[in-house]
Amino acid sequence: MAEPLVVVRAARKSLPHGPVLLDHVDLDIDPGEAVAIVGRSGSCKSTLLAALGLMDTFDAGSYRFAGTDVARMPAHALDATRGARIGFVFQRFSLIPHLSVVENVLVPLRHARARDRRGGRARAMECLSSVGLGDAARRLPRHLSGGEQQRVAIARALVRRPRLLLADEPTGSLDVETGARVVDLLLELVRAQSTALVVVTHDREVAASMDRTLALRSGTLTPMAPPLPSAHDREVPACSS
Amino acid sequence: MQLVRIALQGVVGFPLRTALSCLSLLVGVTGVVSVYAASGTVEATVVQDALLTGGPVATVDLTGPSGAASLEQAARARRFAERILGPGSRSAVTASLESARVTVAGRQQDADVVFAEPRLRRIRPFPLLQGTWLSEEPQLVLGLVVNRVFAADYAAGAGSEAALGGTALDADPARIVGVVDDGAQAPTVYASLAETADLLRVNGATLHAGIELTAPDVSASGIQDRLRQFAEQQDDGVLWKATRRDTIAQQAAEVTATRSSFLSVGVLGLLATAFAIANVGLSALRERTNELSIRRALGASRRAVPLIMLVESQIIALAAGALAVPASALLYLLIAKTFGAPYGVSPPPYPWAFAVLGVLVGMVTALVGSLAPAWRALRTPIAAVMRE
Repeated sequence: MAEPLVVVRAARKSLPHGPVLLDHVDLDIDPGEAVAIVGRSGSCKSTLLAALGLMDTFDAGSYRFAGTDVARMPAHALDATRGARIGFVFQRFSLIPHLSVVENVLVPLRHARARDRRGGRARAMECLSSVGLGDAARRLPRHLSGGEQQRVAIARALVRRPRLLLADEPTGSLDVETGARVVDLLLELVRAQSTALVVVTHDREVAASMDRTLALRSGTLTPMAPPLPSAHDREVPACSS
Repeated sequence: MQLVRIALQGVVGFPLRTALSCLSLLVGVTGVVSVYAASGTVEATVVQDALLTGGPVATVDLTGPSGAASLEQAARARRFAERILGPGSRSAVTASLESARVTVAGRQQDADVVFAEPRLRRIRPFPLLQGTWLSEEPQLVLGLVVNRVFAADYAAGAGSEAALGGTALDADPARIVGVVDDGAQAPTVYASLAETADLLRVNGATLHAGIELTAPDVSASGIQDRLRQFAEQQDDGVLWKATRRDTIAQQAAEVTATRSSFLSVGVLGLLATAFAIANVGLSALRERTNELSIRRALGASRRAVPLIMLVESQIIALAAGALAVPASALLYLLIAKTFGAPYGVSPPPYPWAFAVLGVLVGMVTALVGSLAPAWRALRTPIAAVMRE
């Protein structure tokens, strides 16, 4: 049986000379699986997400990503892996304000190796079209609504066809209706390219649309009740190529 | 190449910052070049005036005999001086006549009259503003050369009719053959000794002869002693008094001190430019730090962050330099033309070294200003972008 994409065992994270943030975290995520992590504010959901996204490290335990022990990876390999295999969607979009929409989507490719950049613009346009913003390519982020900016962020997260997409409160800055549409779109796109999705949220509706939900309480992950049925079999737009 | 592309996006993406940086550098480089131009022109002017009025370094005036025979005594002493001073020396006999008067357009004019051998101009290289200098050859009509002040005060120029006389004779008809800049502030007329020999002889009672000489190693006391020995040998009883005439070294030293003050102002201007550029760069610190953190989260290596900022800052500095150098060169030409040195003095050449220095200062300060966000982004944990 193939190893899960993400394998975390007995992971621990604490502040220097401070309290324990994460303790005995065990987590397996299969390719293409959508997982929600819920928890109250301050429960260190983002801390867990940062470690899963190779932006931070666990203090103890092990983390294997795509079969590689993260603890043994040098800094440049962590950067390269994060850029190539992991996509991010942030709560406040984190678009670069002076770049056009298409240039924002191209940012991960700009920092990729030359061979990975080939056909980048076409791929960026394809992803923008898949989130319904093909016509907005030349606009600046400030001219878009919050929902549109989050869709640009999703296109940017998927432009390098990551194996894992991490979304930190992706609906946190959006109204309920727009947030629901963004989550639906996110699910469609990641499933189309078999990308695993981890969504950190405190929104139970969002969590319910994932394959499974984990709760982060007192620094430890625990499974929650089976989620509501989600739209697993929806038709998907073109970003799957 | 990607780095340059990313850096260019930063340059274009912050047009106000780019424009302000360019403007700061433009003003800084232009300022220092202008100060250099002004001080250089002042120096050239002062040195030129000192050269024209006092002769080159180590120029001595020898005065002593009076009367009709004094010219002959001066000629003998000059030959002796030239012999002992060697081939590097230059000298000319000059004379003044208390009763000399000059008439132009029928009116007697108040002016100093210097009777001199034409070779005087080898010692003091008066720039010719009009016509020619005194001729070595005999002329049908007595030729006079006037200085710029005379020409301006009495509306006379090359070709003007004039007359030169003393108390004992009627005035000789003459013609002004040239106008020179001799650095003097008073109207002055130059006449050839050879051409005015009769006039000087007849008016010998008020004639005073002198010698002006220059040589690399001449000293006033040394030449005075040698001439005293020569007079004893000749038994002509002439005692020559030597006085140092040149002021060029002293003037140059004073001007250099003034110029240093000018240049310190220029350097302060460049420093102000540096602070302005750094300030402009630092004003976008938070925004740039966020951008760099996002780039780090999206795969940019740690090394890429300072490189992006470095390339970006240098693009701005080079663009500013590309504007600043030609702009300052144009301004320099304007300054040289408007406030330039008098005739015969070339303004100093465009100070490329200062222009390059200005651009280098701009590059360094742009770098310093841009490294702050890079440094902050590198110190900020990548995960912080999730909390922005």
